[in-house]
Amino acid sequence: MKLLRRHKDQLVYEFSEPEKNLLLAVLDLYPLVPLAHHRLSRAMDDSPKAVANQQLLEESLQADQAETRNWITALITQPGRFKPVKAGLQFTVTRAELETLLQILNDIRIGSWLALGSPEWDTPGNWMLNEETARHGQRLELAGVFEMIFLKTLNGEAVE
Amino acid sequence: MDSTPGGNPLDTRPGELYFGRMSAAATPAVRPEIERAEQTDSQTGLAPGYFVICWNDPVNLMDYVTHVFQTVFGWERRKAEKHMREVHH
Repeated sequence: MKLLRRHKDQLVYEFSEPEKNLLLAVLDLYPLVPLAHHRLSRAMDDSPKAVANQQLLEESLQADQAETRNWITALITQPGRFKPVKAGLQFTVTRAELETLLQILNDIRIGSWLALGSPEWDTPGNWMLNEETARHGQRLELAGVFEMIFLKTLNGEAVE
Repeated sequence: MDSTPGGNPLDTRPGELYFGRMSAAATPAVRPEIERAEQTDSQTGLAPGYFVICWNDPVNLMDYVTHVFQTVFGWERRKAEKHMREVHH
């Protein structure tokens, strides 16, 4: 996966078929951050008003997530989005689309980390590798890799 | 008392009997409507600012935090990176 061209508002990447499939598989995981993770206030009380406000926030986020899922589907199924070329596939996105993709990938990364129990990586014994944690760890790393590539290319750095 | 000619007044449901009497006895009254005059005013000025607290965590990528600072606050990369490192410590 590498950046081929960067225009004023558009970036063109070259993907291999497996890289494309990997990106789609990662995007398909969205959303992973639980709605209840977003709190209106850290010091929220149990008053009916506070509970109702929190519920309103979660309903709003749920609608937003559904909209984003539709957006992902529309993006990846749009004809010409992944254009077959000799070396593989050309993936074209606008900067605005890339911004949304970054937010989606970050949701997947954070959601995977939460599923792992929000570990501090440098605390010994905090992070045990097993079948379950490996799944979340893999998702976390994959989302991070795509995030890094997109961020670096947005900032003008070449990535191979 | 009998609301139905020739019928038993007890056959009439209480509600019907009650409203039958009320409508016969009540005198319609029309109250004057009160109109509220709406006044609007406009103010020009900046919206109130916000204190933003950014918590450090071990999962958000440093580059992503820098990018968010640039996007949300409109900071140039150098300034965004400086503040990201302050949070990251």
